[in-house]
Amino acid sequence: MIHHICRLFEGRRFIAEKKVIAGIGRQLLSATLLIAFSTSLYSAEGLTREESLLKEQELKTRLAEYQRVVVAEPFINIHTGAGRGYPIFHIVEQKESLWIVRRKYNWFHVISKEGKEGWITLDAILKTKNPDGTDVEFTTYNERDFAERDLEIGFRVGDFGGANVLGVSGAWQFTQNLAGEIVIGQGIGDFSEVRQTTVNVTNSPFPEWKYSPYFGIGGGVVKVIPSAAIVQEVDRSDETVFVTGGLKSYISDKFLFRFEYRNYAILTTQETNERIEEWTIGFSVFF
Amino acid sequence: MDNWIQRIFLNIALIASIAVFGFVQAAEEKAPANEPNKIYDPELERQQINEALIDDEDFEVGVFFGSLAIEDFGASELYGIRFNYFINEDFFLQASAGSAKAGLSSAEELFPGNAVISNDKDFQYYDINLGWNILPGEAFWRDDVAINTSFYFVIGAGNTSFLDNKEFTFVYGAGYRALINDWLAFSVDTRNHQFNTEYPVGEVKATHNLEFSFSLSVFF
Repeated sequence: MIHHICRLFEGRRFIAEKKVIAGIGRQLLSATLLIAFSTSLYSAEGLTREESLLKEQELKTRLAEYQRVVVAEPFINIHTGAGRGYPIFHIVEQKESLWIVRRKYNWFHVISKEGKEGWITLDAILKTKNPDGTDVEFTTYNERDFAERDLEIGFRVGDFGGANVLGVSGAWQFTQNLAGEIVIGQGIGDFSEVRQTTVNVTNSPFPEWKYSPYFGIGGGVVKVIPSAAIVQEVDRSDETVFVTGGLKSYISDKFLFRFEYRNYAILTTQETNERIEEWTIGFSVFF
Repeated sequence: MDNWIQRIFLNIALIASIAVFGFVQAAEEKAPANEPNKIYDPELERQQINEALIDDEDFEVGVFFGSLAIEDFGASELYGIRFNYFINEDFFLQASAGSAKAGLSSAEELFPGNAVISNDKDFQYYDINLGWNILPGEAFWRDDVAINTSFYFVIGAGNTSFLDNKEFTFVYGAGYRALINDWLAFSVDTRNHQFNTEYPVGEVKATHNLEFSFSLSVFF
């Protein structure tokens, strides 16, 4: 296409030139034509033989940096980007090789032996073979892995006794049922700021359920900082114990949703202990 | 006559030189066989994939710079850092922190020196959001450069510290990210930071603080 456009363009220029330099000798004109034509050929062809050899060599040295897999299915689609909607622009057939450049979530950036670069899905690469013919292995996350997770990191928002609360959490799963968790949160109320640091243990009796319930107990420190502008009161820091219950649900990949209730007993220095209820929702990523 | 003799001698010389050259070449070819076997061959290909050697790029960290329209205080320069974790092609978690210095409020401008207001003019926030790449796509530069892009929504919550107060803040907005190459991205973001405040009249009201920012980020 570009080739044709170039030629067309050169042709037009030739006609224009012809009008202007009508008086100049025929030889000069044919020389101009020759130069114009040869440059158009060069720009259209793009590469000379040496250049294409050099390019081939470059590709070879580049491919040597990466690991290779062999296509075992009849073919694999190569997309232009790391997403299901990106168009398929190339197909690699059975027994051909692909070199893996990098992984982005569930997509792999690959290069074919012709130097075509694009992205293929995790599902596609799982069906390829190692150069020695064995099955390839890549980390995948699915619902089964959710039940067998070790580490969980997440954030949560909710209501802590009338104050809006925001927190981050980290949990370690000792067994499929038993986990330890730490939560650091900050609550903003109308008259004060609350900072909470808590640790708890939870038990999930049905880790394989779609909506897996859990319950637990824990303790920590709650610090109340009164709003400077409104009341003249000193900061106070109290210990707390609480019971908790909630629900976790697998969404997709390494992603889970949670909903949690906590009932705190704030161990104040006054005669009666304060009770505070907290409701939060959150998202976590597990590994 | 001379020619004849010359030709004969030249032919002999030529044959001899070819023979010698061939012999030398044969000897050269033989030589490597006598060398000890190579123990390590750097060209040797790995026969099984080692996943740990594959570059993984699920994190993005960047700096942003832009403008924050602080309600009743005019627009100010804004800068901060942003961190994204991509869960899959659709969703990502985002944490950002930003800072802007507020200008004069309308009350301060009308009654210079008389308006009772806090000296804390640093508008600082952090927030945690969930992002959704709703419209992934490609954009084109000239003839042969295609850039992967994404239009996304974010929603989340955070905390804003302003005028000696801390306010729980809802955050929502949209952005557009263009991947310059596999590891470098440029984004344009809009956000609304919405929180309740008692300034200026003592009554609680919702304020909307609009952010417009550019960011440059790297994937790792």
